[in-house]
Amino acid sequence: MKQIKSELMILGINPILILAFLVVVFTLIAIFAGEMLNLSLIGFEVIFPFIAAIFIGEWGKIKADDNYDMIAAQGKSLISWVLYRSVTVFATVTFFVVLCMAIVFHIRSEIPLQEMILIYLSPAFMLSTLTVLCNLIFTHEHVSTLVCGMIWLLAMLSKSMLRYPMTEYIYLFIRYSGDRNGIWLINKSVIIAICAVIWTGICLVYGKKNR
Amino acid sequence: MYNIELRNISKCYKNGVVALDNISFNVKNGVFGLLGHNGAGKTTLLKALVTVLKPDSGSIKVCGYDLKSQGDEVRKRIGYLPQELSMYPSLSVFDFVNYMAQIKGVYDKNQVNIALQQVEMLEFSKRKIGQLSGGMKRRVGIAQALVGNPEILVLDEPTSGLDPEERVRFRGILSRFAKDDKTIILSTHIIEDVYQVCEELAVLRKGRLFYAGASADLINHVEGKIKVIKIDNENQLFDIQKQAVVISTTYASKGLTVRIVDKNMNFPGAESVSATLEDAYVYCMGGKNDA
Amino acid sequence: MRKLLSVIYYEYVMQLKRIATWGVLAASVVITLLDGFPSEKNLARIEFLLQPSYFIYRSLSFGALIATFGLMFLLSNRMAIDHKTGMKQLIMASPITKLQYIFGKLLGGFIYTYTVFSLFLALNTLVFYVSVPIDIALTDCLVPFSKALIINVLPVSIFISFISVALPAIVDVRLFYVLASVLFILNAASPDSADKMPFYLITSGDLKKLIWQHPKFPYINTDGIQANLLFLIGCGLISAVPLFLRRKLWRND
Ligand SMILES: Nc1ncnc2c1ncn2[C@@H]1O[C@H](COP(=O)(O)OP(=O)(O)OP(=O)(O)O)[C@@H](O)[C@H]1O
Ligand SMILES: [Mg+2]
Repeated sequence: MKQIKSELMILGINPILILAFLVVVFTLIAIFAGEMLNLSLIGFEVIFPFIAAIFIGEWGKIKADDNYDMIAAQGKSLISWVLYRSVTVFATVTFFVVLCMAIVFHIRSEIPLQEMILIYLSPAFMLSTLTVLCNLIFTHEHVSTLVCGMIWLLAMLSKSMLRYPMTEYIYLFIRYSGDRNGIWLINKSVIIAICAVIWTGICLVYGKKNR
Repeated sequence: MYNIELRNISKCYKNGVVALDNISFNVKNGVFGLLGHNGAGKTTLLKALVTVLKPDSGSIKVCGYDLKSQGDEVRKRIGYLPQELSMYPSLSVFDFVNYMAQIKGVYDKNQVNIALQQVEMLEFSKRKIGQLSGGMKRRVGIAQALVGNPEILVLDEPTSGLDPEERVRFRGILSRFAKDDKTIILSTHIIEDVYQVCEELAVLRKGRLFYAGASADLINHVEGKIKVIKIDNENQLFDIQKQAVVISTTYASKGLTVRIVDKNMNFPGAESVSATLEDAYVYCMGGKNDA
Repeated sequence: MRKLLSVIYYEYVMQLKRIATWGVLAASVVITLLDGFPSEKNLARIEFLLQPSYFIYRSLSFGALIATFGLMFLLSNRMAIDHKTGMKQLIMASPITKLQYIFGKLLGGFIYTYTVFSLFLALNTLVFYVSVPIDIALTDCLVPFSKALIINVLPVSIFISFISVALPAIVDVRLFYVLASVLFILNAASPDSADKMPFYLITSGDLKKLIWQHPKFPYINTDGIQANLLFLIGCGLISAVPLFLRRKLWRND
């Protein structure tokens, strides 16, 4: 708890301001955008998950943190530091995202709230996990965000890949792309399972390192 | 005529910290040392001198040019080494110094090599800045300040991170540089540097000018008052501290040796030794009550 | 003038020396070719793929978006890096003007972007030319390529380099990323159509249709092209203005 509090202090006020700003902008769009756009889908399945990743890449810095050497050398456990930091950022973003969902649901009622949360969580978790992985690898600032961003954009551009069998089970934006076979719940579960595997790997590799 | 003239310089940062409080002094040719504890305002003063930071009030003249109205003339004549400089890690040593040279309007690559030669970095000129050791980076920083042979050198803690040999060599560079009618103003925490090369110095304390003038005069403040006392335990030390300013204590196998400034001649029997600049400096900074 | 050239030159060199630059270039070329390499399968799937101009047209809407997205990140720290490394003080203490410094940064970034973007198209076109299964005259590749260098690469480079160098010096770089990401995802989400495209498309707007046109819709949408061009160049130039106005950026003489 104490550590989460200090991580929150390290975050500072800027991310909160930016998130609040985004919520306001999104609310305005929700009010004024026409019926054409399925805002809930593009917003919560595509855009906000990457925003979560940007926040993890920029505010959840690990190797790129100026104090990394100091913390790695003196910290009790590297992996718990990584977890605290990443989880704090992710939770902060998710809090605002859910707030935003509630507002959008109130205004437009396109998709039930619980469903929106499900739709958001799996790509957000996936992109954030990839970013944490990059954070653990790259020593230069912004590189994690860059790598994850290119993957994100590519995922959007390669919607046509869905013509291959099985890809729909791991495609990040299944609902946005139509979900023709109605398998989105399986897709989301598969993606979360993949993340769990990656996290297990991270914990195994970095948990050992600091003994 | 003085090369640098500071008149009533004051600077208050936005957070309310008064970093400089009505500072005035002059600097003539040669090496000038700027001393003071952490946060005394040395860096702030040097930044004001190189036009990076604008003082709230007061005026500065460098080589006869007014800093406010003729900043360009001033900038053409100074070489500056900031306290914290990490440079572009992807450039090679040569490229970096060449870059700074070109920004200063020096397009002769020989000059770059000469500057690198002076700090003995020529053999590493192809190495990337990001792959240098801390002291090597400092040397590159000094080289970029030297390049183009400026009339005034402003160096903020130039010797931090240098190895002893390099420090000695660096003093050599400064002395040689100073011989050609140039002015060097450097801030440092290493009294040895000042003692060896600076004819004049200024001491800042909490943003105020505490002393400005010849180093020898500062020593005169305490000459004849430095004494060395041998004692058995720390309790005696507390007694001494009540009566004199303690400069240093060294613990030996039996008891400890205390070096003091015996201002009021409370220890007439103690062994008297000749004063050093360090004694004078520590005395200045430590003697809070009688400053 | 010479000082300006020095800043531009070193800005350019530093950027090209970054491994990430080549990573972005390689990734975007590979991605483009995965989509549009003239293999039997792709030729069967994509109708006009045998035409070099169509291949370039397609690269512009696919891999080019990824390349520019990556370049945006790589350009976004160009002002901040001077602050972080302490170089800003050093540069401000040197006899160089604010205009020289800012133009150096902007133009250095622009030339860099132009170079990488051109390389991206050149590599793709080269691979296409070498591996396309029918005989194609070299000029058939060079003409649309050269056209793209002027019609597309130039305005896109102005847009990407100017906003990514200038805006992060004015707003928090993370907010800049968020805003840019929204713009890019809207780009990626816009379906390719023969109709007038939204003006805010970066690499795949109406300008791209000057390279290749669908034979069924052989008309040129002048309005769309103008809007697209205006958006790219206008946004680029306007985003640079606050840099010059912002006094905190430079010593105040
Ligand atoms: N940008 C700033 N904003 C607010 N206060 C500052 C700023 N820079 C320095 N200060 C404050 O101004 C005072 C003088 O700082 P300065 O850096 O000049 O000290 P210094 O003598 O160079 O110290 P050191 O020996 O540690 O380098 C300090 O109290 C410091 O906290
Ligand atoms: Mg200092």
